[in-house]
Amino acid sequence: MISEIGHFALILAWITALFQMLSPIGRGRARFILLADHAARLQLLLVVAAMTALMVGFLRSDFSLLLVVGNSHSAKPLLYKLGGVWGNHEGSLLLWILMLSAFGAAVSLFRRSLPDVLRQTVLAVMGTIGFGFLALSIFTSNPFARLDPAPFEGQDLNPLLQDPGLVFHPPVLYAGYVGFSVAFAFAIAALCHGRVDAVWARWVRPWVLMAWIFLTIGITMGSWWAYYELGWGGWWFWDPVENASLMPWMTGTALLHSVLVVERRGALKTWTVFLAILTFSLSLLGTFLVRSGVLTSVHAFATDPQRGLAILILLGGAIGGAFSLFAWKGAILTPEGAFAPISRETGLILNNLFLICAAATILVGVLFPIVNDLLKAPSVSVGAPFFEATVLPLLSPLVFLLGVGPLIAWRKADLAGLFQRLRVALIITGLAGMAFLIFTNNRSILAVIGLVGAVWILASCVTDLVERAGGVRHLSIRRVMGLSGRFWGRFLGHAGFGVFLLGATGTNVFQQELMVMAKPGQQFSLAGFDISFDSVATVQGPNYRAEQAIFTLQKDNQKIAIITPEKRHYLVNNVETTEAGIHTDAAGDLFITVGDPQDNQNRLVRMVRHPLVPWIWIGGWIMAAGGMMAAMARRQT
Amino acid sequence: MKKRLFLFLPLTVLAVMMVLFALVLGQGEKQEVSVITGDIHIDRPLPTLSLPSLEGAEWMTQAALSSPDKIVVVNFFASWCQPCLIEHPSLLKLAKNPDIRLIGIGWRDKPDALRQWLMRQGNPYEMVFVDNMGQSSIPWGLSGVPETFVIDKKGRMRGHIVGPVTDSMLVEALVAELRS
Repeated sequence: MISEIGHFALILAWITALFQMLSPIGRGRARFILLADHAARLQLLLVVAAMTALMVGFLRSDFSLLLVVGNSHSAKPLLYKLGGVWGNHEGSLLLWILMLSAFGAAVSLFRRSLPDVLRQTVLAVMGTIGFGFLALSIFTSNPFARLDPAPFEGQDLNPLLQDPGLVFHPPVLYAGYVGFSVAFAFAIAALCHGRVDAVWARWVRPWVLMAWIFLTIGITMGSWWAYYELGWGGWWFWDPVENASLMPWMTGTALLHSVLVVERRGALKTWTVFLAILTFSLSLLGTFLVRSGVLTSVHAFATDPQRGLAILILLGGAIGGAFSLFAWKGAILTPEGAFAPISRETGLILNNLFLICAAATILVGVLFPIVNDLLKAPSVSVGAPFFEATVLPLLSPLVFLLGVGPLIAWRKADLAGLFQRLRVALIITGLAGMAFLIFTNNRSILAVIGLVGAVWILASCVTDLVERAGGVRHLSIRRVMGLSGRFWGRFLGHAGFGVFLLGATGTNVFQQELMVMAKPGQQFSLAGFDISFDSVATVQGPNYRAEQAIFTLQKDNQKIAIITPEKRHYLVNNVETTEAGIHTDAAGDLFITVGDPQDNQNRLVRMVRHPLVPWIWIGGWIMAAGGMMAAMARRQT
Repeated sequence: MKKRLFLFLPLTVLAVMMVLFALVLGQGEKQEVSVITGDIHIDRPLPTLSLPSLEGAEWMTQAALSSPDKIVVVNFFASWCQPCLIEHPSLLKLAKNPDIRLIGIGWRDKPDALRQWLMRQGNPYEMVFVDNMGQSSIPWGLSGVPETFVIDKKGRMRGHIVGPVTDSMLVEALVAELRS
């Protein structure tokens, strides 16, 4: 019964979206503007009702629902029953729609000084997207489909997805993807009304920031999940699904910076509108690639071509429509605000250029297997080496720019003065570079750029901080605390990237590893730790059985921690997973994995010291915090 | 006018991509079928190559690739390679065939990554060599990974499979033919 109500709510939400989409026929009359607002809020309520109904189905293990049978099991812990709701195609599509209607309702509620007609156009665009996706859900991917007769037990969720990180990761990531729909809708509205100016930029910026924050956190969480759950110690695999989230992040970051130029200087208007459309298009493309089965990926869900075609048509309609409008009306946006070659504007243009080139390169890498496929060539992979060789060098100049950018003046800057102001940061960076060359024997250019670049970014962020707070002589806590939210947004955003870079390169350069065949009772030492392999025990989880190895970690004869890597066997779907045992301290992680027993009861034990690795994710969170500060900063009017 | 043309660029790129995707979807359910191709190396002596083994103790030489009583199957793979996951079950099956000596070459990959990958997926190979720089590409005529070569007892290349070995029968048939 509850499921039928949910299904019905979904259909009503579809009709509501239709009204929202058609509201501009009222040509700005007050009643029609009210209609758009009410439709947006009602749509959210209805989709929430549908989502709740589906969650109830999962929590009560209602095996008359096809989706619950395929993705849940009565013995599964409560949290993972919840995770099962979006661990599949139908449920994740509903989650996508929920996010879209939440952003729509938010635009209608937090309107502040947003002119009525502009808001109506924005809501109509979002209603159109919602209409399309609701149709997709209702007609091709109904989450409430029944199964008759109902089986007694479900087939359980993919064990790799049974992890707390993955319960919260998809909603956050989706909030990021879908959040860019607001910027997209604003871009379409701008093209319709032929107006892009500082006021427009001020409205768009918080929404772009919001989406960017969610996407940053989502990617950070996903990478962390891959690190400890996939059990082989990497944190980024250039997997198609990861790439699909990285592309909108890069263009979204570019958008964040170009909106700033529109707001401050009135330049880059057409480009900013283009970026807004592009970023959401890439979000949609990411959804399509993951859901349609066009690409083979470790993340891919079961797919069928019919559904892929429906998503493709929707995608073509949304992106094609937007870019047609852009081609037709893009020329009417006239730029203002001239600037000199050496200026903040130029810096931001270069930032955009490198980010877009990097995103385009990733797109080529993602599409390569598809083209290859069409040429009837067998699937041969280019994978990680391609991305590392092409994307990382494109990002390297950004590391330098990131240090200089915040200190350059708008309009026209003085280069000699700039170096004078950055001299301390340059000296620190130079010393770090020399220390690196003296104390390590790593001579890879990317390692140097990564580590020394991280020092450079952090040093110049501090320079920026000191300068804003009135210079070294006048520095005081009160002055630092008094700095604007916008400053802190920039500071944390940039410093967070520096911290990330330090972690990402550091773990790669300084990693220490020990791999042995061992029995309980043996002792090892690695990176200053004494590790003893104590025993192996069999433990029983809620829906799996595991062999748990127990290691004691000592440093200077002090017991520090017990590490328990596991080899789990999930009974229902008969899948083995490797759970790494991890001990984290400020300097890095100690990561242990254990293999199956071999002929003589020896097991392959792999112990790795990943120095600095937690800073990868701490950096991600700092960046997100920076976004938060910038979004909450009081608007300058 | 120039600006107008530039504005049509995104639309054009999108149109091309849409056609691409539609064509891929139109193919429907794709069956990966491995095919033994003929190429310039077939029926010729092996290209010379020297690579370190995964454990670092031995080197791959002509001797390692020839066996008086077995057919040698050389498989190029990598830990970052998605299609390699598809063929892995067939390789595990091939490894059980007593007539075959299965040798793996980790292409453009690091020893660490290869070891972890084999630990996770299971190791079907009798010996694994590491080609960190991809130097085997040109002499062996490799276009990517996975690719598989079949070598007879006289040390001559008899088969070359580009893409995943989805059908272990195909290789076994060739092996049986070469044995007789």
